[in-house]
Amino acid sequence: MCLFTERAMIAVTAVGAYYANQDPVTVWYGLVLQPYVKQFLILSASLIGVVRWVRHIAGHQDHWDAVKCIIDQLRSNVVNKKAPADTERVTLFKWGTCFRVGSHFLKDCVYPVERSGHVTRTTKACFLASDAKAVGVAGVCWRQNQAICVNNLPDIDKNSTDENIAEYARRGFVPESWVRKQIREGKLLPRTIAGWPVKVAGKPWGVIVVDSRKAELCKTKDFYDFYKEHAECLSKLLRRF
Amino acid sequence: MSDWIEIDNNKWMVEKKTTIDNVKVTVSMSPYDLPQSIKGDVKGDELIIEFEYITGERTRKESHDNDISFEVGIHSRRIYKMFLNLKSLGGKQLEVIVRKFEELVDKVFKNLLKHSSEQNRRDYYTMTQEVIKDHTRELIDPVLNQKA
Repeated sequence: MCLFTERAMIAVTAVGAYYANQDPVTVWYGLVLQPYVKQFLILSASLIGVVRWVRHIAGHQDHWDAVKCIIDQLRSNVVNKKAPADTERVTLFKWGTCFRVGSHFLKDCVYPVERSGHVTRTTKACFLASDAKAVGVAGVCWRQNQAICVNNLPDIDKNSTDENIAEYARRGFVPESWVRKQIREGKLLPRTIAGWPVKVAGKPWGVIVVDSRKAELCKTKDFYDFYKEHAECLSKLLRRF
Repeated sequence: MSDWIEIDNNKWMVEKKTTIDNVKVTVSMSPYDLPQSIKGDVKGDELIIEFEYITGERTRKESHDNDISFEVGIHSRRIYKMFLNLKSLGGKQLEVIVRKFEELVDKVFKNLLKHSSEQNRRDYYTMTQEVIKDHTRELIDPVLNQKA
């Protein structure tokens, strides 16, 4: 979309510039367009600049495709490939300020920027991650700056007891209200959550979270192998974001 | 010029049980902190011990005392290079050099550990010290070659 807008603006600007250098032979051009050519060119150039800047910040689609490919690779390394995509997931979280529609800007939090597979990709999860307070395994992993795995979490569904919900919330570093909201929305809650730090040029960038419906899935060695193979590449891809 | 020695990190790729905010969790060392290879080299009057990690970063030099200085990562504080004054490793016999090298490394890491409060930083220094200890003989080889 950004690319199309940019190309369209360049084309329109070129046409504008062409007519600006011509004699005003047509009446409509002389009367209607000519007085605004200068402003039009300035506006177009500014729009091209803004679109390029947005593209730079958001990142090129090819970069994100490569990041997704790496995330999918991790999923096949640590999770059974045949497992359902919505219950065994790998999510890349970035640390920073996130905005949620209907909510507000949240400073110092981790929010998802890429996820393995083709389902549950519209997640709006956003966890606080500051020195003072961290929410969720993603937030705690960020604060601790080390790999964390929580397993054997209670199996939660709509019939779960208050004790189980409270236990899940405590061990998952999330508020009880968050767990109840997930139940109301009919989401499946993972029983193992592992968070691994992601650094770019030595600086903490975000975390990778693997969640699974299996009660045990830490697979530390597989993660180390993954990092050895892909960390440098991932760091280069994420450097500009 | 000596070669890089690959480090067997299997013993560091382990899960440890601990408690965070009263919750029992399993933690592992950040893969970014595990050196992949190490090498020792002599340049001028210094023995340089170099570490290679899965990713690199910008570094700066920091002096520790008269005998040792470091090159550390600006953001991560990982040790990329250690510069040891050759005079502090004085002696011609292998046993003397090894002993002095080990004493020097012990002294410097004891000091680093004393000034680190974060557990994962302490784990990192402990691991780095052990990696150096495990490869002492290969690391001081360039010193012996120079004296021969």
